[in-house]
Amino acid sequence: MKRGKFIALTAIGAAAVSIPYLNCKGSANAYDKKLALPQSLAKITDEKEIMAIGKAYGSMHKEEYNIKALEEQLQTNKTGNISSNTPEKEFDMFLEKNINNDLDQGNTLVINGWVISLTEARQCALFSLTR
Amino acid sequence: MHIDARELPTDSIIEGDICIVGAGAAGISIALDWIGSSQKVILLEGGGFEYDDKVQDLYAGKTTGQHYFPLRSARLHYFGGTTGHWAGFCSTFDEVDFEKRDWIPHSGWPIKRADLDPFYKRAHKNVELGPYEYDWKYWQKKDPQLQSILKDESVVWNKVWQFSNTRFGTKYRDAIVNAKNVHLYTYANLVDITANENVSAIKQVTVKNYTGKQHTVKAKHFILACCSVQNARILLSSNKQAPKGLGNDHDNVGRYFMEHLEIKSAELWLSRPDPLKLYTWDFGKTMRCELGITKEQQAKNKILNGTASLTPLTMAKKVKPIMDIWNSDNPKKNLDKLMEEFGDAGKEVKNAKADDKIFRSYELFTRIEQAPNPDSRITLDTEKDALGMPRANLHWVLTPLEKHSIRKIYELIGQQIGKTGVGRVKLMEYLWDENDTAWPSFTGGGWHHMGTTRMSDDPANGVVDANCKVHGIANLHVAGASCYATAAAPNPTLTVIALSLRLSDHLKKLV
Repeated sequence: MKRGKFIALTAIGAAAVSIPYLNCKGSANAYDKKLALPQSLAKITDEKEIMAIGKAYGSMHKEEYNIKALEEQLQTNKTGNISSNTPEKEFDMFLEKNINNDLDQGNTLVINGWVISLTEARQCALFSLTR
Repeated sequence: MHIDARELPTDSIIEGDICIVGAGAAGISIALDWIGSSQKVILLEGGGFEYDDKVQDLYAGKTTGQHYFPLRSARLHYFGGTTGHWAGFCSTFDEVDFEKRDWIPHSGWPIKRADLDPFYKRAHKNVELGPYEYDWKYWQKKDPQLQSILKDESVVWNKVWQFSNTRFGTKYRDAIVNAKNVHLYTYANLVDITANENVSAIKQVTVKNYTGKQHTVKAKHFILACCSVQNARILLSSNKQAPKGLGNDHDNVGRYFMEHLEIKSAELWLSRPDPLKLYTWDFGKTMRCELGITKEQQAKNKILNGTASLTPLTMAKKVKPIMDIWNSDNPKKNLDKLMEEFGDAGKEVKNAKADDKIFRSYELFTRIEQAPNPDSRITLDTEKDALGMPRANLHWVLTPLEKHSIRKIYELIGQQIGKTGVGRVKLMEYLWDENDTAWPSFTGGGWHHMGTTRMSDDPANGVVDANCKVHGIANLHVAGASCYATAAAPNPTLTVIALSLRLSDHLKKLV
């Protein structure tokens, strides 16, 4: 998929999941799609690349390469957690903060050449499992 | 005064106070510094005022080890030296470059960056650079469009480069030729050095040219300023009194040959186009920045000092690797090919508007010091040149530290760019596996030859002392990048001139 089309779709996806948050309790699908969206990376690359990064991360970390484990890793940090009930703005800030902390602390990986945060790598992995 | 050594009667005796061997950036800078003094300065140049292919052939030699440019075309052999076609990239070495770094074997100079500061300022004049200002914010005040891509400079910083157009051969020819106390001899190739009986001082040198004529030059002080390959070659081949060569009691001459690794390494992808005016280069531009790594981060990550330059990816992809362009023995042919490559590639960028997608992606190109390595060296070949001098043999050797450093530099840059939210960095495939120590075919250098007569207070570890005097020989000095103990990241010429002017000041105290 071309980058432009991908960005458009991810934007629609992000908007769409704000309503399912409230209505899809128990259904991980929409929530996972939101959780699995590395926003910054999506602005500069395409779905195919994110999928490839996710799969590459998965092959390096088989123990956490399943939806449940990745969800757990992504929605929890030292100061709190998010869930499908978290308001969208707070949800976005939580992930952004985790990514920035990773970058600040050098908690990054080189996957398929991309220098990305651990949080983003896990998002890509979840992306590869949910799309 | 100018004398063509081909026109002199053979076996002429030339006498002076100071004899400078080599009229490139180092030799000319020293000679200029002595104009008007009461001392008679002899400036010897192997070539003439123009390129001469027969003279250029004296630089031919073999290369082994890491693939390298043909030695014959890696430097220019005429008045003005390699400034005859240099790109003019100038920047200062950093403090850390002079320090002993535990993670880099053989690092550390006997002088500090502060010792060179006043000479950098003087060197600026020789290469006609702008103000001696290496803080990018100084330049931003003049041009507010120069914006940093970084959030802060605690990990990655903006290192300033300035650009010179000075061709020493044309710029300083008249000044040298018209100077009463400077006697420039062209077509005077040094082929041998004769020391006194106990090899503690130099008595005279022998020069030759293609006419078959040979002359003797006597002086109180001699300065070798012939570039790193030739300085080592001359010392090694002057072995009739010292079997291992002059200044080579500890087998250091020719060793520690260093180049700047210059290699495409990564891509910077931005979420929206940005011409990044602070970082891009073009003909006529007077400054730009490269991304450097702070001293603290170099220590923390145990890496070499290196920088990344940025070129729009569309343009960079059109240019062949430098090793594939600069592959002829003829430097003029190589230069023509190089200009053709860059000229065509740059057209699209030049005509693009600021919001053009061409400014969404950049090539990140590394320029990095190599770790000083005794196995990377110049030796003498069995084959001799037309004047009877053994040809040089370069064995260029890299270590895993260089590759580890490049990878780490881009991880750090990637993290810092990520923090700004403007984009991301993608490493090239040869850097993906941190355990892979192999180098790709496009690994190149900057034609920067350094380190073959390295500086050290200890004769066991170096060839020259902190004043660029050859250990154990009272009146023999070396000028140029061959004195570097480490290579730093910047192109070497500005530091060559600064170090040469420092040597010049030192000699003024001696005579």
